[in-house]
Amino acid sequence: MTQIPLTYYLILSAFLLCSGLLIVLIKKNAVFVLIGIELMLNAANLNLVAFSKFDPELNGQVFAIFSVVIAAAEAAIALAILLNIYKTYDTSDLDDLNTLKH
Amino acid sequence: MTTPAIYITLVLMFPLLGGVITYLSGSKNASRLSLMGMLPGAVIAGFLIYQSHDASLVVRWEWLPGYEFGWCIDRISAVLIGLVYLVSLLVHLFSAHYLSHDRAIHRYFGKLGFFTASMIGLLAADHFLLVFIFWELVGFSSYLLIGFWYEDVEKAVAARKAFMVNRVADAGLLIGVILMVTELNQPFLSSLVGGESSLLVHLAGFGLMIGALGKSAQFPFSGWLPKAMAGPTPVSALIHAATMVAAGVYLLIRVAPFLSPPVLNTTAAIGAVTAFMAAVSALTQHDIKKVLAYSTISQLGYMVMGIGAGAYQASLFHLWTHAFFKAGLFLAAGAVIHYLHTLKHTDSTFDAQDMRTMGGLKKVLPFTHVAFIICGLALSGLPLFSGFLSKEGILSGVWLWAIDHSANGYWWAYLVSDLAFVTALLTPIYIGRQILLVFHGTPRTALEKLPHMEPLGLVKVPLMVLSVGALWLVNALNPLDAGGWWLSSFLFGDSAGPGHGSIQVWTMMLSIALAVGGLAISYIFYRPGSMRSLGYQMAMVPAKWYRRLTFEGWYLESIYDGLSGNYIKVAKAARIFDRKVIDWLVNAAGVSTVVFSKALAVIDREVVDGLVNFVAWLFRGVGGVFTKIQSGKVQNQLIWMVLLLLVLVLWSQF
Repeated sequence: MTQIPLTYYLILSAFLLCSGLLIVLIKKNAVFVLIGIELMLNAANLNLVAFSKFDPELNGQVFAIFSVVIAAAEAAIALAILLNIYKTYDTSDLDDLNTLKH
Repeated sequence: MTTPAIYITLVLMFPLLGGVITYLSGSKNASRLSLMGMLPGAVIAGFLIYQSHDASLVVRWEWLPGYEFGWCIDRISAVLIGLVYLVSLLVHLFSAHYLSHDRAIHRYFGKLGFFTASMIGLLAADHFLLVFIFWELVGFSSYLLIGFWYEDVEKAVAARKAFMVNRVADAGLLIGVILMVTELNQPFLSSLVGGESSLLVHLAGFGLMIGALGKSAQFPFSGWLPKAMAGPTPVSALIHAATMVAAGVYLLIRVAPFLSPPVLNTTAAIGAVTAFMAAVSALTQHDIKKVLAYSTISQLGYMVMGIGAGAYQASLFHLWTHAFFKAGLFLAAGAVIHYLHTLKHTDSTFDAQDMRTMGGLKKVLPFTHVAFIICGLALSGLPLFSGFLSKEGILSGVWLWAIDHSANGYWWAYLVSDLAFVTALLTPIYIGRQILLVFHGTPRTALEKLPHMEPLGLVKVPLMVLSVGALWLVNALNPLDAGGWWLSSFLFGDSAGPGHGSIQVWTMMLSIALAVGGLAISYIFYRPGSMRSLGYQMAMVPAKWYRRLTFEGWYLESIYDGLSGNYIKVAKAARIFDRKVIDWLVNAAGVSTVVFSKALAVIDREVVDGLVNFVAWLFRGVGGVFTKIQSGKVQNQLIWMVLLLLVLVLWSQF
């Protein structure tokens, strides 16, 4: 089985990160922004896993599993906050959530 | 208050209070009320003379910190205060009759009391500023009394003229007073020190001299005194013969120790010139009071000349005797005027003061006639009368002075004494003419049947007292000795009085000759039945220039009018200048200021404000750019964050 070179992983990861970043920057809906953040997180995870392939101690993979767990917890909290915001302000549009500005 | 202060207050306040109360309580009891003020004052004045024998009454107080004010009544002041009180009292008595029909008699007595108080204040004042204050008060009350009949426009104008001429001279006095008080530091009359010779001393001396000349109606200020005759005749007797006009002489006597030789010489010359000019003017007057007015000027000229020549004792003596006989003459003239006035007061064109309407009055006014003759002979300087004594003193003093000064190179010194002797000849001529024209000869105009209407007893008293005062015996024992004045040693100590050299004897003989000669000349020209006496009724204003010159009083009044007219022309020219040039300048300055400020406003708005606005605009712009970063939108901030991150990364890369 031929090895897939690291560069491919990194390119995919960069693509994921850029897509996530674009989603975070462009989309107005908070849910999409969260999804963008997940994408960026997973891009990082992909990097960790890809680099750990060349690490005999597999520290990167362990770290990635941690990261996935924490991402799940974070997503749960973020969604909970989002739900509360939606309940309170009747909107999930980020441009309307500007009370801190004033 | 100390005892002298009480005396001075009383002697000042009695006439003033009497006058004020009289004025306020109306015309009903005016004469009695005012006498109530005068009599106690006169008693105190007599007591003051007694008091001043031992020591002068001095009151000093600190007016401002470090600045003393003061009164001082020494023997001279006390005697003159007594004289003022005596004459004022007699004039009060006389006025009670003279003005008894006047509705404003309470105003008259009020003013008279005011005058008496100011005059006494002037005599009692020691500080130069006080002297000046009372000097002006005396002038002001004189103005009030001259203009007593102010409904008559002519009289009101005369009062104003007399006042204005005095003001001109008072400017000189003010200069003198200011210099004495501030520069020379000699503010007290009683402690003047002379002998210095600096420009300031000369200037102050000339200033004081000019002030004195103005008040004593000396050349060139003499024109006001004939004008002052517009006042009631008793006023003329009190103010313009006996007291106020003597104030200048009094001041000169006071400051004589201080005056420098040039000032004294000028004083002597002016006195002589005035004496001569006024005597000449008195020769041709038709108005009974104007003759006496010019005569007063002439006699004051004698006194001033005597002071200038250093014979101030004789001058003071002449002041004293003159006060009696001239007041007597004026009151007698007043009696004549009053008589004619009550006689013909229905005819409005009739002039009760014109001698052309008089003549032969000795039959109807015998008492007045005698009083007038006694006082007139005293004026003319006949022996056995008071005027002879004092005039002889002045004449011999001037003669001695002339001898002394001509030896020292003053070539004109003899002119002064010569003028004095010529005046001594002219004096009996004009007074003899007046006596003959008024009392002797045949009655002129329609006064054919003159009722016998001698003044009342009350009026006789002043005439009697003054006539007796004009005799030699009440003044000195020896009728021929000028130095024998009773009061002489009281006033001046033993050092005073001229000696008994040959000059005195010559003066005595000469003045007797002149007096007799003058009276003889007047008798030759104006004796009853003479051509001049008979034709006098038709006498007009003289046509020949030299008679005209004396009749108009050397045209002094016209000169004043001309001067004031020119002042008005100058003022008008100045007004045009003011309008055209100064106003134009001011307006131009205003317009240019407006233009300039407009330009400034543009600069202000465009440049200064522009700068400020530009700065503000700049900061607003920059701030605007940066506020957009802080838009409050999460995603914007994220974009900036990413960009900055990129920049940082790229920065660290290269």
